[in-house]
Amino acid sequence: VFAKCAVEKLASPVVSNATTTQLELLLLEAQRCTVEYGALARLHACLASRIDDIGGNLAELFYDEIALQCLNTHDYRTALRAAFPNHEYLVAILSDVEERLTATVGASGSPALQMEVPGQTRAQRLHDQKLGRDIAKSVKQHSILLNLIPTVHLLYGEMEYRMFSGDGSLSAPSKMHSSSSSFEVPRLEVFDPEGMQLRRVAASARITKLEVPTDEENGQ
Amino acid sequence: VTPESVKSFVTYYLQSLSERTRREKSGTKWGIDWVAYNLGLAKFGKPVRLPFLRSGAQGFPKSKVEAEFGIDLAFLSDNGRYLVIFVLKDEPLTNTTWIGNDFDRDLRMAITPDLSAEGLDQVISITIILAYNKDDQHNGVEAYNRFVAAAPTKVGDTVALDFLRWNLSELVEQTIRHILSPSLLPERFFGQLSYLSAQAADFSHGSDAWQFQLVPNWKQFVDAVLGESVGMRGPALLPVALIIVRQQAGANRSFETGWIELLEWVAIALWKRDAKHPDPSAAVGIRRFWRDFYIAELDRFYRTHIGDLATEQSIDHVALGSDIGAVASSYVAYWHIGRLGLLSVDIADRSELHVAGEGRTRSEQLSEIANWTAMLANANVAVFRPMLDIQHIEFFLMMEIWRNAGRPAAAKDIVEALVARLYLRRLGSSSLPFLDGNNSLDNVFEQVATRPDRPVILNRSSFFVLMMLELCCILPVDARNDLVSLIHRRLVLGAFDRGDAGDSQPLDLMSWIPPDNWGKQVFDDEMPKGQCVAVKPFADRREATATDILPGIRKLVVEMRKAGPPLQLPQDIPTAALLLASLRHRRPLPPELWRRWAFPEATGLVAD
Repeated sequence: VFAKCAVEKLASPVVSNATTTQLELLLLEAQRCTVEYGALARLHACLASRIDDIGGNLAELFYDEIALQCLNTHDYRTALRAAFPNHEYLVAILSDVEERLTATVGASGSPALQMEVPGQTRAQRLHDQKLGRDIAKSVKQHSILLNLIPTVHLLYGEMEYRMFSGDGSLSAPSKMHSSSSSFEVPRLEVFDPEGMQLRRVAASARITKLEVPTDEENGQ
Repeated sequence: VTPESVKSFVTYYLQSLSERTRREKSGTKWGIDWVAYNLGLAKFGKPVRLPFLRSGAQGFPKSKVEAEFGIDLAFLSDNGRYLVIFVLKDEPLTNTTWIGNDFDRDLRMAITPDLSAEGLDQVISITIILAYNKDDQHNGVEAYNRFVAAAPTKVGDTVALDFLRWNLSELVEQTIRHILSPSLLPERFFGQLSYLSAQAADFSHGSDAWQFQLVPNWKQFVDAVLGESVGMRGPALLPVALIIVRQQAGANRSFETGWIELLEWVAIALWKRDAKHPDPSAAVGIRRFWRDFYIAELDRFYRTHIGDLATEQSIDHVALGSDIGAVASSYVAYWHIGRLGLLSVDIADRSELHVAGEGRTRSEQLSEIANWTAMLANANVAVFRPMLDIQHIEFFLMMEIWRNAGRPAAAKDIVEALVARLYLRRLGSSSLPFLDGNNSLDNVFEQVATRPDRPVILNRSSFFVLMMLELCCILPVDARNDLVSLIHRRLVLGAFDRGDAGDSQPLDLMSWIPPDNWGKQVFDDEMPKGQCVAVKPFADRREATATDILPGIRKLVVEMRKAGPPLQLPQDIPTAALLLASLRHRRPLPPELWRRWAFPEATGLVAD
């Protein structure tokens, strides 16, 4: 909801009055679900002061998560920096992550890592073809516009076309328009898919534990 | 390669040569005459006297059957004024050989060349170079010096005469400076090595061109060299060929790992020859190549690059883009783990005395390699992502690194982390498939890229998982018991830890009885397949503990020991060389390699 409604931040009184368990649940829920990374950064930023006050294990969990997400996407880093530019510890984390990323990129250029993996190029081609087909299929299914109007696949020519209509007239040249969109692939989902999945599983388990008090806790 | 190493192997090669190139029944003897010929061309001008006819029908020089008059080769400068004459010898220069092997006689004949021959009328100076590719003794040098002092300083009235002596060291210096190129090799291999060098410079390591053109060509070249040479000459020539290829391909950034691969194919070919046709004179060269070249290069490689490899996510970074990359980064990580493991196994194989000569104790070296491996594993999660069942070799090698360094805790941590990640793939909860039993990287890539309805990989049978279970028995009892039950529950049965057990079918565990003489046959491209042993799960319940599972494993070990020939590792071939051959040929390892530690024969079973 935080992401979908583009919430800028949670109201201060709400955050101030939140208990340790509520805050942990919130963090874990955001960890378990795939939240848009800019929104996740805003969420984390608005919790920082309250969690600083609480400290302890919660702060450890919080800052570990921030460090990890900083490594994960550029969107997250940018949004976090914008949302809380004066938080000393967050700034230090961002700076540390920038250094680590620079070191990674530098080291990945090492001659020890320049080998090609047999079959990777072909597989990437297959993957891209399948992705293209899947996207086209999905667009076709979900686009009202494409379902209403006929589609003509032009074979030759570059970015201009004319139509020869049934009445025998040739239209004036029309320009094609291109549109594209891009999105950032979260690094760690690709670098460590199992590790990220394990984190989600662990978050789910912890949420279950926090939501369903044990018999012992009920007794207390 | 260090300059010292280049010098050492060029010395070894030149030392191995005869005076003349000639074919004999036992094989071709390559001669120092070809080296002198190329040095003469590079330094002195055009040849006016050669001891052979170039490019005979078989692609190597054909000897001339004519009187030499002491002159093996002669070169005339471009302006026709300076004549250089080579007197070649393949014997050491000593007081005895001075007369006995015709040093004196040949030099005496060489100082009276026939200058009336066509083209020599402009000569104003003659230099006689006595070149020999063996060592010398003081008395021999003294005899030579006396000869020079007594020799005339002119030929006829006007042509100046002087002398040079190129001993082995000087010959090596001249060779490295002027002809460290394919032309240094016997003429028959010049074209082949030039072509290979060009390919190595152009092709990216691991690319299709590398795999399907360069590697087969390289193996063909190595086989041709070994097939044609006798004694130490083949083992002496191949390092020089490698040095030349490296020199020519140095600008190719992917060649750093490609070079290691080329070295490995040479090592395998040499050990294969040693296993099939033992020859004491060749064996020295083969051992020398293995320790002083291959293992030394691995050590240099990791000493140089461990900083990069141990940088956070440096290998994981290969995975940029998609799951395809995650498979690729795993391949790269396992490539490095395998080589670090070979390094560790080889050092562990040596006697302390041998290692002590290198300035550090064996345990210090083993500990250093374990540190490198730990750094690499801490920095890159790709280490926990094997994709192929055959990568049990690299995993075994990683466990050997910990065992050799006496670090069972590190071994336990690695197994735990590996099981946690493999578990998700075993349950189908990951975007990556479980280990492919067909060991086809192509299939894994296709599976990940296209996610077909019918899987193209085989993930119901696993040698890797059974090996993990057995390897855990090397660990201390507490660690062993926890891991054995964990692996059995999660990977063998594929059951959830709690609640509903899930509907996964148990894995078919696999073991393998290697063929007789595995230690020799492993170097062959084609090896008898041995016998596969299909093993049912050791327990049906996910609650099964080590107490329930271990008796089954022990029984399997005992029965397999009864059924198969005992594993006999060749005494004279390093274990790391056998492992390298398995790694390169992608053949399973004999389970006895770890069972000998986990289930020692003396007690038959590991103690509880």
